[in-house]
Amino acid sequence: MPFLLLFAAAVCTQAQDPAAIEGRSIERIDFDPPAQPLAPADLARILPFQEGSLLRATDLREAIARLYATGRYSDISIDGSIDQHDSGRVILTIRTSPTWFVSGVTFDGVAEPPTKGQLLTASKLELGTEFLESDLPKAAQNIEERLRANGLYQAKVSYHVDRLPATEEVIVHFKIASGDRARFDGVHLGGDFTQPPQQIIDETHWRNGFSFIHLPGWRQETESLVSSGVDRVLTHLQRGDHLEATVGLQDIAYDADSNTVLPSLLIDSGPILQVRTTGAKVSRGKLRQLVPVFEERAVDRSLLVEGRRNLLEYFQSQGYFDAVVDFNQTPLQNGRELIEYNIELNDRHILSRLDITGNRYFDAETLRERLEMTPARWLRSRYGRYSQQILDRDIASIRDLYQSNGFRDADVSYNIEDEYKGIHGHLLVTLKVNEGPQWLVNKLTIQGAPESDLPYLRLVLESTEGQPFSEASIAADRDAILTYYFNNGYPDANFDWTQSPASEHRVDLAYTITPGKRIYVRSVIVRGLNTTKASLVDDRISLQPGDPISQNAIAQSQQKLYNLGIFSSVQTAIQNPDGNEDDKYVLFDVDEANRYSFTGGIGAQLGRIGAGVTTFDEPAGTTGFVPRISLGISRLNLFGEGRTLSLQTRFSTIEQRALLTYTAPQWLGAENLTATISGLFDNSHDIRTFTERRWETSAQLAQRLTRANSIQYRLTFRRVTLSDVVISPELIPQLSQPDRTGMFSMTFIQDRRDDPINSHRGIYNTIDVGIALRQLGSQTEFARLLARNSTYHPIGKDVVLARTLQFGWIERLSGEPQIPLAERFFAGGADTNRAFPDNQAGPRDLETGFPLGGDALLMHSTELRFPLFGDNVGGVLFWDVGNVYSEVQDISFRFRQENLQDFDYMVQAFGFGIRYKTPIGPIRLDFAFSPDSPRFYGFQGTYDQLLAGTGILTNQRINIFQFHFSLGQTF
Amino acid sequence: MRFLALAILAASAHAAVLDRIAVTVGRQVITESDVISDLRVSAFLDHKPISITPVEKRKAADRLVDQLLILQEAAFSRVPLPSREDAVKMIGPIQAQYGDGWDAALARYQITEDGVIGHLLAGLRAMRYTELRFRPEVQLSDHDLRDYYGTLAQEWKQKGETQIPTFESSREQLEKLLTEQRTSEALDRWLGAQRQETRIRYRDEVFQ
Repeated sequence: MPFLLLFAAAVCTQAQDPAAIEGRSIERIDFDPPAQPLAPADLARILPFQEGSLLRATDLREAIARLYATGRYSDISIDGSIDQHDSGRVILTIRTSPTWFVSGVTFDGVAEPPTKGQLLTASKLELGTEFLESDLPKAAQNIEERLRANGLYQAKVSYHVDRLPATEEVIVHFKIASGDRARFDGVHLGGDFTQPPQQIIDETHWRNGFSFIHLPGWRQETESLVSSGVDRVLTHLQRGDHLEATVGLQDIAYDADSNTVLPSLLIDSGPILQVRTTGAKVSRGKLRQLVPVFEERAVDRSLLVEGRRNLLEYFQSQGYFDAVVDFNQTPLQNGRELIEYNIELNDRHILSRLDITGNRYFDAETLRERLEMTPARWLRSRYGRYSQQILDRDIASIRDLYQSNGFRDADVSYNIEDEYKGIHGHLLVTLKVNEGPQWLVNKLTIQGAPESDLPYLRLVLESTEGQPFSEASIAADRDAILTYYFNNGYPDANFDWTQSPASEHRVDLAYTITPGKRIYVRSVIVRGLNTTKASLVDDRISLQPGDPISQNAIAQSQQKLYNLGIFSSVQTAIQNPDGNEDDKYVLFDVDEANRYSFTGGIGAQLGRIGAGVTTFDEPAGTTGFVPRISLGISRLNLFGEGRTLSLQTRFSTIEQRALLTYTAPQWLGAENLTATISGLFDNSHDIRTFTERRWETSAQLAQRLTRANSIQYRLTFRRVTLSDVVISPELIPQLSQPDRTGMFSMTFIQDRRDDPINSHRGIYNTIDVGIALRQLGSQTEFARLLARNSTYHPIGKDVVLARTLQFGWIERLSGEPQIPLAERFFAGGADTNRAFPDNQAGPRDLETGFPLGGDALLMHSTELRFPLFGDNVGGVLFWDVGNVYSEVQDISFRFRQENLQDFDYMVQAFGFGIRYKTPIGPIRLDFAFSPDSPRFYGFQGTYDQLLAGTGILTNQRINIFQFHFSLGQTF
Repeated sequence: MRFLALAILAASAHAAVLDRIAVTVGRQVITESDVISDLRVSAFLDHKPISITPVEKRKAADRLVDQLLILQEAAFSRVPLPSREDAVKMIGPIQAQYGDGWDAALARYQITEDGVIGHLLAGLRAMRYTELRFRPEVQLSDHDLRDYYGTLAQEWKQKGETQIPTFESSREQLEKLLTEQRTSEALDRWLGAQRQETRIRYRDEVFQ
């Protein structure tokens, strides 16, 4: 017996052979610890044995596998002992260690760069996944590596974890003592290079300074600076035709005493590799673009062949459809290598016409929209766009279109007719479509889906009975079905399909859906909130405990949180993503953004804004240039409720402006409401007649009604004082007194444009109505209406006809005898009627000629927008007509000015504009000619001469030619 | 043996471990019993004595991890894999090797016929998938074969072989050998990548 005990002790480190107790009855099943992550009922369901059942070794293994598959256990072992009182029965003890899950990672003391996001990636701790204490040293090591790569060699990383046993969460906190960032202290250059070392070192930009201005000392090391420095040296070498040059960062030697680094670069300049063309000129820039050896920084045959193909396509697109391109590579001699592309252009052609025949199902216009081939067009494409590759792609595109609509056997051939209409070099390309029969779905059966899902599924499927049969439609159906199930708690949903012939050109389709296990939300966990109120976040998360887990709902909730504008990151995850459980926690880990943000900008205004503010010369302005600077500061997430307080300022010689805004997005938890309170100070001279000092406060509630429609309710109170008023002295008491206005207004906006920046189709309507009342503090009571209707009509593929109508009406109700200057309509200029310089339309002072604004406005603009050169330069022909009128009853459709005191007529402008496409909207230059621009009396002299009546009255006229330079389309 | 184990269970003051996790591969487990069973069946098939040392256990666990990774991938790919019947067919020749001592041998190695079939089936499936997945990737050029022949010829010369076959006469054999070598290399690369991507944890206590 002592021998047996000794032996037992010796073998206890290894699993006992379970076969030894195979077939014995289980007396009891204990758990260690007794409190388990899974409920007793779940455990009973999962385990393949129970008390009283006969023990089998395979069941023990299965029990371990099933328990581990739930994801709630990180370790499991099963012990067995014979009941001392009943030697035939076995007591099982299932020993478990629970799984902990990462639900947040914080970094304290980060001196960017690296960013928190980069550190999180380096830590390799994924939200929602299993946490292992043993992963932390490696995570800290990775973080330190990232810090060192950014010059923080003295950085020390420590960590601790917070465990939340109720939800098995672990929040990992990394504390970083960054230390000072190391500076570069020179560069060690090795290898083979001919350039002066100083020149190479300058290229790294590791010295202090900007571009070519060098300052003493060296910059601080960051990962991006190191990498961009190496890249710049490489680019520098390649500019000298060392296309195969290599630059390697051998190491970065760190000196702890001085906290400096000395990078060592190993340079191999390689041979001078010259790429040139014979037979046709190609600019160096174009050659770099077309021959990929420049971009790939390597030379091999496949890249040279690709260069040949690109050159061929380039020349074919230039009309040299018969061009032949070949290349030869001269072996290395005296450190030089030559790659020569030999180009034989042959005759130049013009793709005069492109015909499509044989198409019945799709009209020619539908097919043309998909083609890259373009017949020659004046200015835009002189020779048309055509090459063999383009032709092949177009044929494939048409074939795909037919096949995705059930024409499985569709084929497209082509014919090229040279000497079209007997003109040398002119081509007619004819695409011949052979549609073949259309295959249709005879019957669709859906298996595996619950009966209750079928009505919805049939609604979203494309391949239903009678519809075209194509694999593209089936792929779309697959996406629709899987999206539906993924969004309804079935993350493992699967889809399969089979087809069988039914009758001629008809097939029976069978979809088999395997939804898999449905998973529900156990609860939603939000981490990372420091100053933000939890209720603000909770209100925006649409998932509730017991709901099926929906990826769509998670993404939408994430988007709503981002829309608050107070989080720099919102990460979402499902805790225990791979675990086999019925319900799971959904995690939202947010990172609150910096509470303050600063903006700054420098700009300039160019236009007819010049001339002094105290003289009466040039009432229509002279060309001027005004630089301006803008600065802004915002305090985000005020009171932890997602509100923003921001101050935006703008300074120039003609405008000083400060706007303080308090914004509450998603007001009262309603996604479609935004409340804004603002205060404005504006001292500006953008209207030539006066300098305006405006103090204004307003409260606005914006409500988005639908995707296209929104409405704004606004209460405004403002006080405006005018100075430097250049009108007749007798008008000053009436028009330029300080004005106080309290107004309630509403604006309805309907925006159905395809692209607000550069619209091609759609409609844009706004109606702004307001009433200024004495009860709201107004000195003058009046009602105001400003309405706009713009429509955009595509003509063919590239041309757009756009038009806009603006109507404005101010009706005085009581108070001062006239509407104060500051409340009147001033218009004209780049965005309204281009016959005028900015704000120069409408009635003018009969003595000085300066604009007085009006109580009514009617303007209409029509634009024909078309492509001009290439894809980025467009042209516009426009006709603007309209004016600002004294009163609404003075609106006239006359095109002729009756006398020099008549301003109530339609002023027209015809013109031409150029648009250059940029990511922030087109840059605009418009030239306008106005045959009936207003003539008026002006005054030459000083204000004293005006008072004394000794100045000279002059006949003046708004220049019939105007130019306008701006950003964005006119409307 | 069974008596001995019972005696241990009954006599020991604490319970004995019946089974436990040895390795986890994602959410899949390889238990210690899997590892020991693999060692037993392998020894049985090789007619070798059973050796259950920590080193042997670790090697077996590595094999099982590789096999699991391959079989997981095979399950996703839906390629046709050998059935249990295919594995059963392989039992015949093995039984013939043991003759009348088949049952006694199974008892001696503490395994069952079912366990042997399971072991063979897993191996067959892994091999079939490897062939289907990696062999088509192997494209051999004439240049590759000549290089390989050159290397082998050099080795033969160094070993003092005098009758070295010509390239043309051994071409078919070379092609087969090199294909197998390249397939194996491709498999190793893939397994290396899979091991990087998959969370694999060995439980040290099992391998001590």
